[in-house]
Amino acid sequence: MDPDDELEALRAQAGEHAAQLRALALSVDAAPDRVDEHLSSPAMQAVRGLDPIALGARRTVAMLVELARGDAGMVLACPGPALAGVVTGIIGSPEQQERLRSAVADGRGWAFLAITEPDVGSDATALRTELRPAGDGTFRLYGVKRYIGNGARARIGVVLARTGPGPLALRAVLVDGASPQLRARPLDMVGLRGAQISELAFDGMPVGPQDLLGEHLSPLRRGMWGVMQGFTTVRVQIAAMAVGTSLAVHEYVHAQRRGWRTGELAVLDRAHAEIAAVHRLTQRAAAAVDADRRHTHPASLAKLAAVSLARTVTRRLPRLLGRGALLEHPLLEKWWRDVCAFEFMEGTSHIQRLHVAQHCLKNGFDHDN
Amino acid sequence: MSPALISVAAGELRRVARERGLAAGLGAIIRGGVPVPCSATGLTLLPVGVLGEVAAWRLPGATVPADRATVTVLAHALGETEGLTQVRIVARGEQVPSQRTAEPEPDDAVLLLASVRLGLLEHMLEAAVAHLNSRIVDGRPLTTRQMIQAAVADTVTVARTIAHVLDDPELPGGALAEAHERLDEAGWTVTTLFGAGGYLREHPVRCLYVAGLVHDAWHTDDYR
Repeated sequence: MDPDDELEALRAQAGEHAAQLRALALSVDAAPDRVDEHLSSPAMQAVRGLDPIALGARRTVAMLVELARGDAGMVLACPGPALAGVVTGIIGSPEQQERLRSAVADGRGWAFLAITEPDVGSDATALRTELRPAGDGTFRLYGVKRYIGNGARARIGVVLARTGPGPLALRAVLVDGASPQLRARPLDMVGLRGAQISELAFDGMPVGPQDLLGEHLSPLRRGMWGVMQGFTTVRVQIAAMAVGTSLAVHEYVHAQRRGWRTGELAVLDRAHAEIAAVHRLTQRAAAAVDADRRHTHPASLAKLAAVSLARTVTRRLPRLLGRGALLEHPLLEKWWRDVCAFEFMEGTSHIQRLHVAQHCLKNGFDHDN
Repeated sequence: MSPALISVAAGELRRVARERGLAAGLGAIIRGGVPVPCSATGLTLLPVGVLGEVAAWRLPGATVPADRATVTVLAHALGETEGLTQVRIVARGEQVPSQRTAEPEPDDAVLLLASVRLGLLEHMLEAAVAHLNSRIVDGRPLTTRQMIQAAVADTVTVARTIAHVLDDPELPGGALAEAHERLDEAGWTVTTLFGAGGYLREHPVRCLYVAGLVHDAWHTDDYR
């Protein structure tokens, strides 16, 4: 199939589920712990089957934009391997990939990727969660992770921890979400509540050689290298969801009235042009990730632009509907809250700015790309 | 309310919001007899416990005295974290049309709300700097980073400028709308200084999210 036709087919396929995701969005936002009541819905099952590593970034972005046009919070509330699947797909062995896949295969199980910690965020050099040698070739996992999507309800997950000082001592391990040495609690967040962002405390969880991701890779490629590539992949996905949410807001606002004044139409048109531009930027970033995941700056640039866009669109366009639009239209209020979460996922805008600047200062300005 | 009274009230509201928070600031506006703006279908946000002190409601194009309105209290999950409640107003009997002018005047409430938002911004900036001073990365507090210092400097500049904008007794509605826009942006800058922790509902910086919602519920339609 022609690549463009294939992307169009994927968009259409995802678009079919967007309406159902949107229909469930407010009830899951109000009661994220009751999301399992909706797990049999075709839309949630379709999102569960989305495999970003097998699909590649361009196809994933094409689908995520359409799904987030329904509701990004619902996309992140869906069961499946999620971010753990991305990292395991990059540095996991075939056996570990299968272990993750089978843990969530029944369509009612979540997985988590636990990197961020209290006080240090996702600064890899400062992570404190540790793998202490048990003396028999195995380890015990100790530490606290915070702001982990679906953490409290996951059956399985990937945790980044250190075996000692230095960047090469960072290792990603596959762990059992039901372990008695894991205490998990959902956190009460402002938005993206369907993702049940959680805190996880590990208190001596046993970790064997079979749980260490990247044993088949060189020491340089086992830990942070794989996670950084995962970050690059996921940053493009977040940009896609920010673009999709911006499109959702634009369409929703536009559909509320038939008779727009000229000045109001100009505001809507200008917003649409900006959304389309950032959409293209995100597609270019996805193509760059498919070409080489080690190039981080296109993904950083796309996330930086898309998060800023989504904040602006969700804040300003509802005003066209008059005073109190966010109270009158709970979906608009939800999206206004949700997009703020994108700022904090896989590196803040400050971090993305540093990536973009460092790339340009080192490599010059490639004005055609 | 006269420009002189508004000027006095603005300084006091900024202090009340900085020291006692959003609900206290909004309560002071409402107790001052300023009509509370509502959406076209009568929705708005206000502090819990001040319903009996509302003088009037401002629906788009009409002012409804409190004794001619039926009020229904509704839940609002985020608003409740800051001690606010959502209400729906239904007017009974004849309404008093608001004065129409060539350039519509903003509601006094929106002008005074800007002072409350300014006080909250100043308080949260101080809290953010204290938080960043305690975050040590590579042996240094985060406040030594240039990007952080730039964000702090930009926020202080916006806050100081808006304080003078709000001093203007003849402030045009467009300038007030622009001040709220800059408060939105500066508030987001400060919110991000807390990292993901600031996205917790229990975090004090939620007051800036909720103040943004109040602005949405109160802003003057004609300035957008």
